[in-house]
Amino acid sequence: MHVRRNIPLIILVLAVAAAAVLVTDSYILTILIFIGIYAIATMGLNLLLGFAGQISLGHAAFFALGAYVSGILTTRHDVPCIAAAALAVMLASGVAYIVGLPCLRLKGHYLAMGTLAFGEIIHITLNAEVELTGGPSGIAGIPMLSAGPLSADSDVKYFLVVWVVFVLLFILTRNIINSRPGRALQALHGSEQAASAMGIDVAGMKLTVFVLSAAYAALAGVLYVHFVAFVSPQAGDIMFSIKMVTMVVVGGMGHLWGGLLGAALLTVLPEMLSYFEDYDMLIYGGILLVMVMFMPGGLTQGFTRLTGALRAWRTPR
Amino acid sequence: MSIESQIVQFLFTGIALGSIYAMVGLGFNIIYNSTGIINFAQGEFVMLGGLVMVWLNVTLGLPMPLAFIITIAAVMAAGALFERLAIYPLKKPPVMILIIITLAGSIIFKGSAMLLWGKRTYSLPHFSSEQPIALLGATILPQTFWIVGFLAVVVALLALFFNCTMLGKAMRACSFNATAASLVGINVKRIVLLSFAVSAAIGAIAGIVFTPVVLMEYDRGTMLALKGFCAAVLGGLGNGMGAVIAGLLIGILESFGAGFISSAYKDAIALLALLLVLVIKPSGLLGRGEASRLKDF
Amino acid sequence: MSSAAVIVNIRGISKNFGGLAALQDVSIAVDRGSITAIIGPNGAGKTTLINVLSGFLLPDSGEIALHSTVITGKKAHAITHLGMARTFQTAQVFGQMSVLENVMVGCHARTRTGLAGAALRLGGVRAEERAIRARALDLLAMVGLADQAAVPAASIPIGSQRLLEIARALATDPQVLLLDEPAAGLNTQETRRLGELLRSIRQQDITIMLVEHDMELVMDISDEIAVLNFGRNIARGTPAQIQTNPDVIAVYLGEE
Repeated sequence: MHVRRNIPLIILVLAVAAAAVLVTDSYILTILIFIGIYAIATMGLNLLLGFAGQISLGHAAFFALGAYVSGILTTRHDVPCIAAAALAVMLASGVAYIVGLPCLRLKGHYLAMGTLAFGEIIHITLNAEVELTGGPSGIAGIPMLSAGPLSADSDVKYFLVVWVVFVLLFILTRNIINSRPGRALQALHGSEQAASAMGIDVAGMKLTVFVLSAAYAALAGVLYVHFVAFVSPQAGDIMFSIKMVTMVVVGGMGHLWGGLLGAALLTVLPEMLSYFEDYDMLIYGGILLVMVMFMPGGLTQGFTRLTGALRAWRTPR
Repeated sequence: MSIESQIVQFLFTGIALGSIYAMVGLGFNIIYNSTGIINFAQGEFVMLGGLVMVWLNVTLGLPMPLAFIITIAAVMAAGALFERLAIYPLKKPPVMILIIITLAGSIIFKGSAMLLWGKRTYSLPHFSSEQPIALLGATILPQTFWIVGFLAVVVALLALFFNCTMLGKAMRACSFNATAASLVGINVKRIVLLSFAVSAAIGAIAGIVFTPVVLMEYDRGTMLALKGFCAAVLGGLGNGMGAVIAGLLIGILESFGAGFISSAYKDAIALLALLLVLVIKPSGLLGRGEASRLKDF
Repeated sequence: MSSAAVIVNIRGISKNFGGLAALQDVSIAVDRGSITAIIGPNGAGKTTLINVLSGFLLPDSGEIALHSTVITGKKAHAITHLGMARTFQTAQVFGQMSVLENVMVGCHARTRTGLAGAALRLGGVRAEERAIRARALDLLAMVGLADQAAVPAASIPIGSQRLLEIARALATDPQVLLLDEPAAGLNTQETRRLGELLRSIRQQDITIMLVEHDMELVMDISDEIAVLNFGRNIARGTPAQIQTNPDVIAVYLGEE
């Protein structure tokens, strides 16, 4: 194992372990759990948006589908958590496949509008199908995550569950990116024509990455719903879809750590500004606009620029 | 009510709805034609038109014609400001960046509206009488005539502008070939600004004329944009008359769907129509082919 | 010219673009192991022919066979798998990826690692990854770009980008290589080196079809030349024959 390349990951694992032992404040643990959940969702969206260059403005729908399916199965049908989670992810992936099949033929603005429309349709359905989803009031009383005798019944345990899942997914995602399918994804982003000419099945690849990113979002939704014990149609509304996109853009599209960085910043920021509630839409829009205009590579681009500048400054003439 | 009366009633409602979607669609087309950009903030111009009018006319008590003009000017200024701050500085941005920029713009407008007006719903007095008129076995609100009337006026003014004024012809030139247009001395950057301003004005008119009937709140913009975009695409992206016809069609479809099928899902009808059009025939019913090729900025 | 030596058989290909006949009943038989050039004035249909050959455009009529397999109507990526690779007139390198990674993408068609295998980094995957990297480096060395391996592809000069496209196309392990104006924008020295590169490619038993405007290069390295004008194939022969063909001369002089 190349130690040097893995340093950031090792630091993260150590930080997670340290936090699990040292942090006792429930509030801080909750924030860290949410960061982990959103980071899982954005990791998938980053694959789609940052690496493959396909836009989706409706990804909250998959998050909500994961949350609702797992919530409904565990509350009303006594399905064990792990099975419910698996079914939720599979269902969301299936929906992504059906939606993606026709929609990914669309380019640019059409794809954006199409995914936006899809997201809104799911949101409307969640509100309208009161018998199934509880309508605008949602579903409450969702059980804690458990697998047999083990259950995540404390904040620390949940924190570990979420972050272990994150680290595992991170490693898998990194492996994908630095490999044949990962290069094919980036080629797709670079030039679809040239990618085709290299033997890459462009349509198939787009669909695969779309479904994969939906699976990540659904898994995040599952983890969310068993922590909060409640879900409402707001989990699938357009503002959340845009927040997800903002996290990816701010963190750095197409950078491995971009999703985590964006999720961390945009989860912590609202907590630090107590009056954020009223201004949150404005601030999100502002951050998104400024980022995409001046630093489209997100914070990771800013970070590499900064270290590059520092290095140049410290190099003796 | 008999079935025939119901049908006529839904038709009237549909025409009113459809006129608004048509105007949003026109707004999309104007910006698209001059710049190749799809403005995700288009719906917010409608929302701002309605809410600013409420503030001027209801809160401040300005007479309606004066408030009307000031509202349009204000929303045009917002559109122009957005163009100058977010679009003008960039050189040939890739499509995804443009999408995110106008999306961010829509969020900023929405967020600002939420700060200024809160989350409640606002209404405007009808322009003339509020009494429904009996017509063909159903009833129709006088405001509907105002709505359709303004649509007709907007269409006529646009036709006049694009065909008879130098500026309008310059904008059409840009839509065919921006490079050639700049070579004959047309200031393309200024045309972009103008197209945002004009689209904002049309959106504002739609908002003002619509709010008396359906009320307005800060987050109505997204749904209006989606439906207006559906009108634009269905009619053939870039095709003005197409957007009008398609908009009316969508309004009528939605009205019938809400009446006969389900009112909880009424928004979903237009959205499904959008998805179907995008997937089956993106060039629209009246479009000029090659629709998936988006123009260069 | 025995038919056993024909590797690409273009028969009766026609393509209309809304009233404009870009290709009219074009038939060309390309010999295996040859360098066959397609020349003609601007708008003659040369790039359209390449797009039809490589599966980016569907012809209105006619048939194309690679060896004995009919490839008309197949998708572009499938045609690459069957052994026909191409470059583009405006270099379409993957700008954000490094020069080396660009060539590694070329190996996609001949390798197998899927998402699951890549995610779990199973044993065979690592070996395949090493093989891909090694082959890509070899190809970069062959076109003379080995020292630019780590550089982002968008930042190398256009001449190098064209060479990168060739290396990338070679990575697909083709039997036929379609080159769309590879010499455009190259100076005399670079063009000469390109000619040598093409000859060495031919020596590896790869057939080359070349759309080109640079007549010196064409006459120097081609075994066979086909001339297109207004979508029709008006002449076919060796460089010597083409140079003295009155129809060809009329087309080029008549253009003035």
